[in-house]
Amino acid sequence: MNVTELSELLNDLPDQMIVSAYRHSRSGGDADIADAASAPVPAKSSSGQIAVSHRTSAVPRWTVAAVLAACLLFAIGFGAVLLHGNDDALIPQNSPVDSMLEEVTAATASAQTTAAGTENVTTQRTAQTDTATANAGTTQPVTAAVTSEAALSNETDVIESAEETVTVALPEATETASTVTEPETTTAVTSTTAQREPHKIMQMTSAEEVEREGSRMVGEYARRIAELNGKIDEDAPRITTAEVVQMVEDGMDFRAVLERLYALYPYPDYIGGSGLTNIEYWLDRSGTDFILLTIEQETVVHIVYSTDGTGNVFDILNKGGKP
Amino acid sequence: MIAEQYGALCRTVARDILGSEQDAEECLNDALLQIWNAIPPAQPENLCAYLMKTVRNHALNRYKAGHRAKRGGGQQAAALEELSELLPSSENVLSELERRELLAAISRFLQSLPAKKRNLFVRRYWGFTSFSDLAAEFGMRENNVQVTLSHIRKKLLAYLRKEGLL
Repeated sequence: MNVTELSELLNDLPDQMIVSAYRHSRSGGDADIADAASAPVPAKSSSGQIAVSHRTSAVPRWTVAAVLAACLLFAIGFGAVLLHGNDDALIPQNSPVDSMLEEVTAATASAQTTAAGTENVTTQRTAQTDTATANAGTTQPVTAAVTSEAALSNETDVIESAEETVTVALPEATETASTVTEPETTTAVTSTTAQREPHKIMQMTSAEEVEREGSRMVGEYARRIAELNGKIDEDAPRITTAEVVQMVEDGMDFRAVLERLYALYPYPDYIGGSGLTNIEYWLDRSGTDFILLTIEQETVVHIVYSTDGTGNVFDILNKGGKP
Repeated sequence: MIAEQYGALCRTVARDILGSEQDAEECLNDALLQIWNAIPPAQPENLCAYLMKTVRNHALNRYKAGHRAKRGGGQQAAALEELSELLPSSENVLSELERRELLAAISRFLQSLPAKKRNLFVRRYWGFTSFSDLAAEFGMRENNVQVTLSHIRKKLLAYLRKEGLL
């Protein structure tokens, strides 16, 4: 067989293979080949003329769209994996901390978004907020502002966008927590600035009252409830900054510090938070000097809230926490 | 309508063989005229491929004619053409079957290649596209195109020998 024969032989290569070879660098898609293969045979025009014109190269838009979609899905999936990974890594299986966090979850369930990505905001929240404002006025000046359409309404609303901002501000002490919840369960973005009222907690004399306050603060005042229920003495030893500093200096990571603290002091003063899960160990009964552990951020922070306007002090004790 | 839809592809086929935009345009018009007269009696399964093959044959004939004229009457080319004209008469049923087998084997081999290599092979040996044009269209260096095609040829040779066709 000579070259001419081979050339003639190759002329009979499969149609689709030939078209694909020429289309590949122009439109880059098999869809065009299929279109070409199924293109109807044109009828002759009345004029009998055949127009000859250059065909504009088609842009492979579907390829660009597919790449963008893949990147977006990857980013979302990666974020979800990170969130899952953090939770799994930080909360040890069968750890005593589990029960604490389960209680937090239960306590905060009413304030969390639902699995369907919607949030039910009831009049109960409005009533609680109003009550809190009234109660606070008896102990110290409190300014509470709730920015929420649902809170201003007397009816139960279902917020389809599942995005809400609740702001409650105190002049002397505030804490801020924000996070994006897992995409599988909700798309809500909740940001909460809750007020700290340690004095009021310590003045309360019934566990139910403290529980209600804890619920309002999207958490639980575990130590105070334990004190009122007689589980521990009011003068039970409290954590010291030196202890925590020593743990960190000994090379313990966040999880180890958390477990050690819980073993030594099983009743933190406060567990909760909306979005971020905060665990507070107060250094005294005033609650203005305390160690704050934030699970999601893996941070151990010593915070001293100023009551005289000299400024708050934040000292991050473990430098390996997440930003 | 045909020209609008498939003109660019067909023009590329003709230009790769003839190496001239003007010749390619003339070749394309000749081929379209032939197709116009052949349709609807001819009802190709794949119109695009049918057009491209028609244009290719027109371009090859035009190329041969051009080289015949340039070479002082085209004696050498004419002799070769004469010899080639003897081939069909010498072909028997068996050789035709062998030819079909060989074509099927080549097709199978090409199907087994990655799309890019397959397209390179078809563009080079079916469409006679130059190395430089292939390099530009496939985003490769010219040297890489040559090496890639060399590897494909060696593989094809080994495959055909393995199949007992060579």
